[in-house]
Amino acid sequence: MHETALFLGHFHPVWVHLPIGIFLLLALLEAAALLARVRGFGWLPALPERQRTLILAAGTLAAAVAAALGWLLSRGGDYDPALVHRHRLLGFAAAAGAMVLLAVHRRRWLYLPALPLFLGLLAVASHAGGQLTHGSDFLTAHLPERWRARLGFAPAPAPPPPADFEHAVVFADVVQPILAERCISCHGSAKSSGGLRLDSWELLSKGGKHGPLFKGSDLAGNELIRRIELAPADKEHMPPRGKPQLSPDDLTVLEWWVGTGAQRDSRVAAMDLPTAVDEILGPRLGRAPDPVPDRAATLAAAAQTAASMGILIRSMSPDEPWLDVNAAPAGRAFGDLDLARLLPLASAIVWLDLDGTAVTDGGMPALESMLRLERLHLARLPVGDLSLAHLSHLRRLQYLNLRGTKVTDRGLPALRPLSELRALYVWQTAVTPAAVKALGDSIIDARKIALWTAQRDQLDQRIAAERFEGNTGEALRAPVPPVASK
Amino acid sequence: MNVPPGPEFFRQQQQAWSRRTFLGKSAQALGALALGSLINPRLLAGDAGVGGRWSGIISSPQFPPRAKRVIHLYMAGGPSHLETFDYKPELNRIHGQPFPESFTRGQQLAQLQNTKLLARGSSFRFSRCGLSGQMISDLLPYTQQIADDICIIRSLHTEQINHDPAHAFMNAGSMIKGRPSMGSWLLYGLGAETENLPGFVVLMSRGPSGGEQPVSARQWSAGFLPSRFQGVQFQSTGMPVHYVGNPDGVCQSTQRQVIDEIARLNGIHEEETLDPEVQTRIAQYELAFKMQSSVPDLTDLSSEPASIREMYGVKELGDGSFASNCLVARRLAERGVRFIQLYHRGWDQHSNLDQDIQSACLKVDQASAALVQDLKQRGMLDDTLVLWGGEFGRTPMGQGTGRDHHINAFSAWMAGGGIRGGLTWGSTDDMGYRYVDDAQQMHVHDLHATMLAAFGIDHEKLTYRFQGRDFRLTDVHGKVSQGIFA
Repeated sequence: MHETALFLGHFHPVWVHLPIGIFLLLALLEAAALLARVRGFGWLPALPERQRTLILAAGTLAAAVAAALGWLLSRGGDYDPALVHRHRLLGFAAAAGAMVLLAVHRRRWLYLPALPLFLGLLAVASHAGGQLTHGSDFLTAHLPERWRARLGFAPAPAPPPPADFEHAVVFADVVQPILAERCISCHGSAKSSGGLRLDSWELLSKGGKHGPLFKGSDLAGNELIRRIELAPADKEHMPPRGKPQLSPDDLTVLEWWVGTGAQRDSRVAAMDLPTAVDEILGPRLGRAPDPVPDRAATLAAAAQTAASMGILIRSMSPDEPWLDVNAAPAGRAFGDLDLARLLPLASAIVWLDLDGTAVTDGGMPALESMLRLERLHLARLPVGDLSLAHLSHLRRLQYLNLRGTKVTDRGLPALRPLSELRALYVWQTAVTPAAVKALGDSIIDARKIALWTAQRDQLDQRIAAERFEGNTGEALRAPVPPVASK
Repeated sequence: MNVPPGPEFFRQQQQAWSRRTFLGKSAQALGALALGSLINPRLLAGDAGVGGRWSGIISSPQFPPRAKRVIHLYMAGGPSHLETFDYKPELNRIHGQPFPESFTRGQQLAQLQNTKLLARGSSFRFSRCGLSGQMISDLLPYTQQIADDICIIRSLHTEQINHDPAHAFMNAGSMIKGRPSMGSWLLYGLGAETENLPGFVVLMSRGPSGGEQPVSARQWSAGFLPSRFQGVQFQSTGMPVHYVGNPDGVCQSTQRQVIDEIARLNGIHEEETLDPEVQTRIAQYELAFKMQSSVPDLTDLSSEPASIREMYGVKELGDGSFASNCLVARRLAERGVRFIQLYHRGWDQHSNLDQDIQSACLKVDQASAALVQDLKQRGMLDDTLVLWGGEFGRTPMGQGTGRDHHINAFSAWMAGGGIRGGLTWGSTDDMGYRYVDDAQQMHVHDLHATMLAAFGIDHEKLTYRFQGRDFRLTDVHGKVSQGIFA
């Protein structure tokens, strides 16, 4: 019974426009009929008594139905109780007003003043309903400032200036803006679907009717992340299908925040940011991006450098300045000084191959300014642990070849900040598998893998639940028996 | 008669340049000039100056590049996909029964035309391998170990049903003579990363097996491209290049003087004719000179440790076996050769399939897998694209004790160069007769387009104007299988 009531109740927001429309039409026709008596407006139609009765009766009936539906909805919706109470009172009053109007409409002296009063009541009641779904200031939120002052509204609260990177707090300056943009309209003060409100730290950490959102820094047990990561078609996916969705960047940031323990007061600058998060937060918190060199100038300089040094430099993109620098053809003729001569191109080098050249530990500082490096071959160079310290700023590095170098276990921890590193080659070095594994564990976020594995398991369970034996084409067309619920 | 030239001599010379000669020479030169600029303005633009480095027609890639070189393990003769990579239990079930006519009606067959068609199952077991669980025949136990590194393509199909035209189709995308092979296209597009070796090297396994189909040198021809881009076949036994050493009494500095003088004379000839083929000749002399030192270094397999030799299964260094060639291929790749093609014949099992395919697999399996693993431990698999496959497949219908040529479906695998390992791409019908025509079908043109895409090249943009038409490797076809990239 409760289900049916709630089902019907959800028609309230649709149906409610019907009585409003009918009464507005009545008001228009009455105004025309009154105006028709004025000279010059005789062409306007009069409103015959029977038509008035019919319209009023239809409107009253529609209003009564709307009130009934609204009452059903108010018992089950996740709305702010105070606002609901106000809207319910006003709504019933409006429905009652319609009935009174119908009762008195033959007494003209009573009816004519009563109609505008009733319309006023209707407007107030409707607005209270609108506030329930769209928020309490939905009409005036975007009122231009000069009108705002003239109409006596308080000036709009100015958006807080974006905190700069140094002082930004993760929750207040990064997480909350995302939630405010995509979640608060349904999980805020006006409407709190599932009993969940995300508009303050206290309410967010309290959780909703399904329990708390967080279990420590466990991504797999995090309801917020789980709901967002579900397939968009899934009933439990958030935001629901059709609503504006979170961007992949938003999700990356939320995952990272939850993974770090979802603290309220931690500051961005004080945290160890993975490169992906760093690149998202940088622009959001107003930090200047890494410079992108001019393509034409870079390519011209590259051609000259390549020719004079006997190395190969190729452009890597039709519209970006990125370069693939291969010094291997120059072989032993290419040394530390030659590496230093690449510095004018440093900010454009994405791949760098020094395999088999004569570069030594002394040349490594030149790599520090190659912030765009993604692939770096140092294979067979006489470089050791000290060199690795010069690589820890290369945060975009994905591939590092240290085969046949003098690197040992002691040097590897210097690579920990390289959160994008996915391939490390240490064959023919003294590095042990245990040290590589330790490095990998510190770079790869095992919690994310656990989350994806959990999601896959969950999906497998669902598939298993929906699968049944003897699955022929016939059975697929038969209605699926509902999963038994408690 | 050693008389110094006097005025008489010059008068004769002037007369020799008669009006007719002058006009003739001029027309020839202008013709060559016009032809040259039609062929490719950059061939005249000095980029390929005397003995100079050819850096390729593609100045910047259209897509993000992933691969830098190709090693094509060419299984000539047409390996049976049904015995190697395409598991077909349904075909095994109807083994010996008439082959369903619905598959073959109206289809072109090679030697089985107008014979009674009987289904032939595979005599060999398949296993799920690696974490990815790819199905690989037990005939290839070493390849089974690299299942997670390779992408098996089951939906390949071609247009040519006999060996020579099918080789041409696989190499050049056309059975017509005079089309450049894919190695030549790649060299034309990107140049090579070495000046000391040819950019496109071919090796062919030698060994006592007999009954192998010949492979013509036109398979690695540059076609209408300047012949400096053609494949250079190295001998797989003994010294890879004949007469690479100097004859007794000639030292390297004398040789240098000879080469320089020949280059000067050729240069004069080129100024007269403006024929790009003279450029090729000059470049070949220079390359040959450099190969006098680079080739002995290349083939000095004694520097390879015993563990590596064992890994490849090399019995005797430089014995011309496929294993030895694989080891040389890796050394070529390390030295910056762009395209390396290893032909191994012995897959044309019209009869005695069960025995002969075992010996064929025995010869290539270990070395193919070792090559991938060796590249991987050196960190070279990230930018080396390995392709293993033949020119077509074999019929699911038996031909006595073997199988006939088959063009509607065959299998190959790719590894490295940005290809997603552990993926099975495409599928065939229940009989393994025809590829399933979905997004993962792969015509030879699509394979070519995909391989070029791994180098960042849009296959529609790599063109060469010849006889008034812009030609390309994929002719007017080809679709990149994006999903095959990681």
